[in-house]
Amino acid sequence: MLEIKMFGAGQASLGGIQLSGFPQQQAGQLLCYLLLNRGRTQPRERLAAVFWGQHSSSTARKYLRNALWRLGQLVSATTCQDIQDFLHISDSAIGFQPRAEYWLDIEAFERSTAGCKATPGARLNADQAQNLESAIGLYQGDLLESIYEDWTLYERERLRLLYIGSLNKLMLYYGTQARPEQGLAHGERILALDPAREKIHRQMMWLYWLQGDRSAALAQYKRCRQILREELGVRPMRETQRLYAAIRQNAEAPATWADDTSEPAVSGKVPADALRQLRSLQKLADRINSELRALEGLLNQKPAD
Amino acid sequence: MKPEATSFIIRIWIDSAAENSEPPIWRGVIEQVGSTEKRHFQELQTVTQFIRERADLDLPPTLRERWQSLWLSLTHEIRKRLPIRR
Repeated sequence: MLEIKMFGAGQASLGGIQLSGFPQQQAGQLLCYLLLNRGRTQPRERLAAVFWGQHSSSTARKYLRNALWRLGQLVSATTCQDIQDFLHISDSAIGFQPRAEYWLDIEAFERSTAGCKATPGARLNADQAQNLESAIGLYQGDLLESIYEDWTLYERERLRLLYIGSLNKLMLYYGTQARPEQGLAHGERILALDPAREKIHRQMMWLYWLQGDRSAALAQYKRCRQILREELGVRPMRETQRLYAAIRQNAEAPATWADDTSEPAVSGKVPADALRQLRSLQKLADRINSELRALEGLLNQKPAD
Repeated sequence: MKPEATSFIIRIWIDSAAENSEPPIWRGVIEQVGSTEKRHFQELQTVTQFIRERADLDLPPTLRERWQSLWLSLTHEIRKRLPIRR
């Protein structure tokens, strides 16, 4: 069985034996690309352009053949299996074999989060919460975190959003289940990724308050205020200040969080105008990309002064 | 030798409550791919400044004009779509 971990630094093993050079070497990266695009065979021209776009088409295709050969060598040297057990290879295209025996962490991660997409954190049931716990346990770091190739960026961000969304759902789930300490641990994980998320600070203040630890809730506010001042040069929002005032007045903590929007950013609950804005931004991004390509072309024609 | 290209990731989010009657506040962070450099922002100007500081584009005058006009249209379009402070 081929086991691939693409979260964090990345690791692959075949029959329990680690594949050397994965994912740093180009053969390993080719396998990663095919795994990220599993279910779709990739024309050889596209693969050649993605990995060796700076070379001529014939040279790029030669490099692709070499990388494929190295990958085959690696597989056969490890378990005497054939690369075609894992890849569909033809003269025109290459793709990951959907029938191959494999386990892929990002696939398991997405499978575990799939059943919770439309459910706000406070309304998760125990099974859904357990699935989300399994998912975040698989997230050992951003996708292929030491590889900065363009083809990794979109998937890295998409999975990171899914991870943050899952942590946030669990924060609110544990809050409503009267287990705030577990919610707080998940909040810290979000703040480790981005300490300036004011809403997460507010939710942590609520969780400390629920726990009966008012001084920790007030300290969380001060931490939030300091981070916002350092990172953005702004004060906390009015709603954060109101929450701080309520905790100071020793009022009773509400049993549920009023602002439970912990589903991932793009879901059926996103207002139609926000979706329209997103689509129009996507069109704008496409236009900018084509402008940038045109600029690149001009730069290649005319060297800088 | 200068790299031929560099990439940036911009993440934006709303930090105010969904049921709040006040206009939502968008915030974000921009980071340069492959480095630890990042900057939070609540104003679009910060994004442009961050990229300019790092991209350090040494372009011939005609291309520089085109680049600047691309930036202007980009920030204009984003301002139209997102209520990020100018």
